[in-house]
Amino acid sequence: MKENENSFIGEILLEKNLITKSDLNKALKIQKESGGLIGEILISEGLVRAIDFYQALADKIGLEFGSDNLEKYKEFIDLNLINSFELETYIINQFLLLKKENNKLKIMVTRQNNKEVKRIIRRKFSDVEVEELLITNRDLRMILESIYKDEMVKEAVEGLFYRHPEESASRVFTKSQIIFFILLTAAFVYSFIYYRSASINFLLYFFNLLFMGSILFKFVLSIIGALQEREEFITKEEVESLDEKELPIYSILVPVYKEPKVIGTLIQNLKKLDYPSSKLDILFLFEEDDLETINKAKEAHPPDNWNFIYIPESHPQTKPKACNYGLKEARGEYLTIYDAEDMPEPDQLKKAYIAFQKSDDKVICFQSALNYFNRKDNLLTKLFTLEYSYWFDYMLPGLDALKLPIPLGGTSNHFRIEKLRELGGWDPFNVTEDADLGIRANARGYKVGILNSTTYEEANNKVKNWINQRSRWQKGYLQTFLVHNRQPLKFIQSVGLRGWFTLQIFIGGSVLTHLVAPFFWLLFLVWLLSGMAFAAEYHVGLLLYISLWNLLFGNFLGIYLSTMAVFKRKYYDLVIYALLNPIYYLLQSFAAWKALKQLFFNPFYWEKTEHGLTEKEVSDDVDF
Amino acid sequence: MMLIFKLIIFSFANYFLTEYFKEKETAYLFLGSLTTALFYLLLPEFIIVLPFYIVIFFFALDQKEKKKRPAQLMTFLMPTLAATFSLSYISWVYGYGMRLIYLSGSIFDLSAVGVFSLNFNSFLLNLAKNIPVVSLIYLFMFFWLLFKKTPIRVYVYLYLSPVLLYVGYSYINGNNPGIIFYVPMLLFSLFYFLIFSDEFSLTMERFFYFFLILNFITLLLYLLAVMIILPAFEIGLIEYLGNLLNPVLVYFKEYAVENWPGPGLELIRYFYFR
Repeated sequence: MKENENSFIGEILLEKNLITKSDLNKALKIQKESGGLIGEILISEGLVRAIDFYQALADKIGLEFGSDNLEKYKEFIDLNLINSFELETYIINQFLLLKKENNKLKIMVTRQNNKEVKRIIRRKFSDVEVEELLITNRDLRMILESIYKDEMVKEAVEGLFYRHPEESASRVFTKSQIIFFILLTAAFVYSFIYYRSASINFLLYFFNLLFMGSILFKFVLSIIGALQEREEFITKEEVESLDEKELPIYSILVPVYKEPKVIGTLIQNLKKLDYPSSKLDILFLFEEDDLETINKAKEAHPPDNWNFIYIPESHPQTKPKACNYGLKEARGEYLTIYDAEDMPEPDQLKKAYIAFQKSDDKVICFQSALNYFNRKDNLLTKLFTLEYSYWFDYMLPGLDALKLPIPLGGTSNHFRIEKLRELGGWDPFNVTEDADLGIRANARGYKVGILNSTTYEEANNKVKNWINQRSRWQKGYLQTFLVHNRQPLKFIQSVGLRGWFTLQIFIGGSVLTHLVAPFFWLLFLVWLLSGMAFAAEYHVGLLLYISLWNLLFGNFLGIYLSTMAVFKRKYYDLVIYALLNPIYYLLQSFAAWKALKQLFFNPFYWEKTEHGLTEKEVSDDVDF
Repeated sequence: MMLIFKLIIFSFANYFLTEYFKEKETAYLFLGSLTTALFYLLLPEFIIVLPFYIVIFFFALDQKEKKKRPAQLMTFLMPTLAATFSLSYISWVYGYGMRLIYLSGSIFDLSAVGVFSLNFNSFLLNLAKNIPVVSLIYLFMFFWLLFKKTPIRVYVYLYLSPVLLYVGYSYINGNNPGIIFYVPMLLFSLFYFLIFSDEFSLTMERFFYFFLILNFITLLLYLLAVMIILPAFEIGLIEYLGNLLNPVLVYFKEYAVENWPGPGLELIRYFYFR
């Protein structure tokens, strides 16, 4: 839009007292710096209501204003005509075919004279006269949702399963896996009865070697990960020198369910993002029966260009299903996800954009680090912070540097939206859909990178709540492990032996070690206190050395990595708490057993993590 | 040859630790602390110079970050303490009780545990023989301070650690590692040069190269000389000092090292099942 036209619209809005002079000046200043249309800027900055702006615009250019009489226009809708294009085409280009009579095609648009819309229509209907009807973005989405609702739900739930059934966790075990586990159990029972000593010895060796492999792998990753500190991937200077006019539309999915306590804070946090507000496509994904959260969100008065998507009730009621639904409506070039309690660093989107520009097309996702703003709440939040710090600051950068599959974290993963759609989105049946997606992307030949930006979340400060959350993660890891081990040879062909090894050690091995760790601790304590000969009988020679290594080096490494990670983050108060790492490990074991039970009896159940338990909104040292 | 390898590891540890103080990157602290612990496992006598490191890691920081002091110290110390505990625990498992210091030999080799000898006379003799060389090596430091005229940063003292270690090592074993000790020392000097090269002026660089070469030559000459000439009165003086201090050392050996009062397995069992 030319500048004088912008001014004209602005003057009309001024005349109607819809905006003030300073509002207009502010919008024009933003437009000069970041580009974009003046109307979209005014709306996204919350300076004018969308309905008022569009009304004024329709009056000015002499177009019908559809939002005034939506029900009337809905009656015109011709489903056969609408099927001429995919939903994504309508969403991205913000239009909808309404009716076609003879040579006249009536369409709804949110932006008049959009050349791209005209080009798309001309390609399909070579010889038509297009008549435009202006409508607000929100109303357009509402109409599209009412038309496509069933299809969107079906796609969100079954899309991945229909296209790639072998990658869906909707079946927990395949037939061949069931047969394998039955044969394995039978073989062990048989050998335990007839070769008891050898069987116990084998088990001890197997688990000790698994522990050892896991410890060594962690050690290597931590060394490599630590060395990454020397190179800052995206620098502050790069962010500052970015021309905001070149920034594309960025979609942000915000799945929220029963989060009335934190939704207001989340909206405030999202407003702090350093990204042109008119180029943000923010989609809140509400379950349609979650009226309390929806009402709280409305009370927070987000700008009119932020969208509320209401997910119809359907099974499974999981976050990935909601995200798949939201993905259908996202219109950005890039997309990220934030949870309800997230506080991303303001420049994160810009960093992600630069990261994509600097990477080759194979890199389809960047994972930001996650950490906690309420780490000082209690002992649990401190230990949780220790774990997250070494996971996101050492383990994941280590995997990244070694080009191994990276299991994504729950939020703040930034995608090229086109590739995300190509991958089939998230698996709605997997309760750690993020980890699964990271592995799946790698198996399809894509890469996941690590972004040097942090999102602060709320750490669980209640043990029960923590166990619920952790059991979901462990269950999801088991699902991911089972899904990608359905065709091991094919998986090895896709990701190589190193990638396969990562899956076994990092995903499956991690849960398995948590499951068996309490038994080894028990064995150790019984031997320590009673001097029982049973344990000593098996622990001789090589097995003794391996056990000693696991006990001493394994525990040391767990403690030390936590120490280093919080030291690096300058959380000096937390360093001493690293000594409690073995106790935290046992807590994870408890969650792992709960996860295993649920895998058999309630595999798709989403253990809801309650947020808003902390009294703190911001930690003392999170400053942005 | 094994000692050369161990001391090269030590040089690397000091290199990483000095880089940490200079670059403020925790990756160096991570690597340096782990390498130090590895060196402790290879040469447990290192524990003698550990207090020296403790002072550095406690004090080397900005005064404004007081909370950082214990955190930095703990982060550095933890691997070495874990290694100390591990060796002690292994000894305990084998029925030798908890001990603070373990001397070289295979960790799992029972016969190697607890071998300890003190020869104070020999120690002083060796020290006297080596002091000129050691001092010469520290001329690097002297000239750096002289020309830069900047206050001494505490981490600069890491440079002194090889001498302290040498003292400790000789203290316990009563022998002179000779050239296999000096080669890693020179290596360490090179590392040091590498770390601070961007802070040196051209004149300083020339001085460094000059003294480095001089050190090599002196080292060779010195080792040759001590094999031929050793003044008899020097030996007498050293023997006299040795006799004077020997009771203190024997006390240290008996009560602080060999009879470390760690908990024995039987004691714990008694506590639980009495």
